[in-house]
Amino acid sequence: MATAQKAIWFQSSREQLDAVLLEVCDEVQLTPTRYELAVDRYGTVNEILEKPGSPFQFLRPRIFPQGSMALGTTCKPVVGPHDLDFVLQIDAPQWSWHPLAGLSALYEFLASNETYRKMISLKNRVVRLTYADEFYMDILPAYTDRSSGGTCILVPDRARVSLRPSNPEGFILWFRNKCLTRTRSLMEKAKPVPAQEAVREKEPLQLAVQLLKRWRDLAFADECLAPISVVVTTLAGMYYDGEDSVSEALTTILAGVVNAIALADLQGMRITVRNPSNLLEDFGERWDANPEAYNEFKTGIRTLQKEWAVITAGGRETNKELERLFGEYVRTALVKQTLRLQEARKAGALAVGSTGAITGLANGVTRIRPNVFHGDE
Amino acid sequence: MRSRFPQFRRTTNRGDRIKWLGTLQPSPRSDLYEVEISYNIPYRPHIEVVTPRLATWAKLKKQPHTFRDGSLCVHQAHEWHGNKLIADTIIPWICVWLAFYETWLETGCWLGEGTHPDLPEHSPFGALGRAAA
Repeated sequence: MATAQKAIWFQSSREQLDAVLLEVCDEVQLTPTRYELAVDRYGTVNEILEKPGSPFQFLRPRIFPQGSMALGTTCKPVVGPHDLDFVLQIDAPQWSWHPLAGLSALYEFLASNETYRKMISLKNRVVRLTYADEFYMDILPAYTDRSSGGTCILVPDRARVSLRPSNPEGFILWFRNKCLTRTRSLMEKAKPVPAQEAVREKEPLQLAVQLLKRWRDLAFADECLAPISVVVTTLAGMYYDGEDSVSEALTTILAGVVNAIALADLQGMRITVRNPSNLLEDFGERWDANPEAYNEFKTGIRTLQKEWAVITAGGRETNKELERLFGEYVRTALVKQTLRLQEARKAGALAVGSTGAITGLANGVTRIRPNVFHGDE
Repeated sequence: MRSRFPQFRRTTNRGDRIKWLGTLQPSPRSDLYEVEISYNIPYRPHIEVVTPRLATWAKLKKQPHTFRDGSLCVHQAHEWHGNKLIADTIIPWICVWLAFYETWLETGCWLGEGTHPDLPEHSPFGALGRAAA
């Protein structure tokens, strides 16, 4: 886990950059209160689906989080409601005679419920519950995929009127395992809803995904051209190489993606972004229908790599670049860091080294004595 | 001075007037500042950031805690006298001033406190606004 303490002074440029990025991720993710609210709401829906009268009552319904909530990579949208994704898995081979049967049953059942009637809408693959407080829950009804086995499922697609292969639980396991390549390679069973980790307990890969999603949200004004979250997450997981530092993780991931794009370009193809836990599922398939989005992604990620190289090179000016990439949270991060510095100064806990670098009290450094800044009125 | 901050060189030494020129970098991602300290005995040392040229946040006309000539004011009059070593006092104070200055330049928040808190350049809230802060 990323266990970096909230540092006041730094030994290296990388350490200092990582500290700013950690603060940005702190600001970007769902607040603990809203996280708990989401867990409560999903629990309530789960209870209703299991109760007598539910068409799912005898189909062993199991609702579980997928996407950012399960992966620990939530990222507040710049505008609009925060979407949280859940899967409703049912064991109903007899229903697969029609690919949209589960979706229709879920929609009709929840639409008949007093509470959900006014909040419900039907999307291509999911039933959406829109809550008044800038928050919506997408529920994806899915059948157990007995032919593929394991945690594979089949999910409805209204546009294609077909069932599509998927494996969100397998994806969660793959991602969590990728996160752990830094220190260990234990497989961890997906839990119903993992308690949200504090940013300082997160793995560098999780933080890198949060930052890439934040960049995506700010860089792509047209949502139709923006890469979807699962593509960003999969690419990050594919190219992460166990770095201890979030800034180094981003450098490696960006290099991996840019190289893959160059290779695919040589072959006249787009990059392949398959679900590592179900190779039948191609997360990049939207690009086939929208080549402009793929071109925008290529341009965007190449530009990001260049800008990122400037930022990692250091210098005060690069804070502006950081702010351009990740937004106003960079300012908040700098303020928080500087407030900690001031507290340490007041406590008489600061010194300077021979280069002028602010540090803690130790042998061979010069203690910063109490002073009050003054000047002309 | 030489033992604590070896990068500082004496550029003038005329009995009652000494000047040092050297570089300071308050954090690894900070700029490298070239600073000149002029000490006319027994007056307070005059501190000037030579490069990079000091900038201001938004439309403010001056940096926090500076004199009209742009030099830094890192202490009150009673906090320093000729018996105190510049290397023990003035230079560490410059370093923290520079650290606070860098955040101020990005955010408009002066977080190092000091005198005249009502001056616009000394606001701890800056771009974040009083309510948000």
